[in-house]
Amino acid sequence: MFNKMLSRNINDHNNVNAKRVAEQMTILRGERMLLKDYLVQSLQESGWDDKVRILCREEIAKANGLISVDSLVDRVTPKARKEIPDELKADMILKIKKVLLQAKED
Amino acid sequence: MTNANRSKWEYESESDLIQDFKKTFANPSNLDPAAEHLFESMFQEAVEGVAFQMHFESKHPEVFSTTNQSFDDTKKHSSSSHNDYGASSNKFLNCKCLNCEKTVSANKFASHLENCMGLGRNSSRIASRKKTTNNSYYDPDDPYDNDAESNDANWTAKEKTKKKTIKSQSSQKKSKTYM
Repeated sequence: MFNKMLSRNINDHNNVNAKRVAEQMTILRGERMLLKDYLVQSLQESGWDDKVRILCREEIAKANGLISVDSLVDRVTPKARKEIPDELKADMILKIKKVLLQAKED
Repeated sequence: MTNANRSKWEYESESDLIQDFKKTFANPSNLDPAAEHLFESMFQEAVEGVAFQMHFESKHPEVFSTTNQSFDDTKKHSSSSHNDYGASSNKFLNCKCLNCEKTVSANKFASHLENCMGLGRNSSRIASRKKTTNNSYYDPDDPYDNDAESNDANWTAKEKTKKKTIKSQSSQKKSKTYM
């Protein structure tokens, strides 16, 4: 049991390292910006943008205009996550993996 | 996180980062969580962008007047002093032109600035007219005066002389035919 916990901790540590390194590498190569622009454009084309705007308006109206940006983001993010089309998410993750593999080979 | 761990995240050079990256992703099991994490961070930024814009719109509805047109007119009439976000919209935004220091309403600011800075369609004509009123002397026959603006400004003078010459030529022709 102790070995399982140890291996899990090592795995988590590796995952944290991998996430951090991947983010820094894509920023260094300028690919993160391109991926983000592509994501934003795809979300707009799918209508996700409009839905999230409506969600934001509803939240602001509920609070009578007295809401901070951070609170608004915290309230809207879970609902916005449900609105993402599954195909778009799968497509994006595939693209990101390709970019990481390309970076590894270069 | 200990200091030793913190220093691990800071790379001394690009090559250190690249080495660590290749070492980390030599293990293919790291690819999925890294891709998920990247997607999540980019998605979070996208949400924050939209939320920030909507929050700003709610605080400054007069700047984004086109968005208010999409709401029902009945709502507007019933609560004229408040917009659909519940905030007061009685303030009207005026902007001060940096070029001529005039106060202009926000709706007309863009077109005013365009003309003020000489980038609009009619602004070059207005500027050249101003120049001709300031310059009392202009010689159309001067070959060294190749300034396009001044030439453009004095097209009326040239055209008048042209008309005169055409008229004189046509009158000569007429006289010839009767000969």
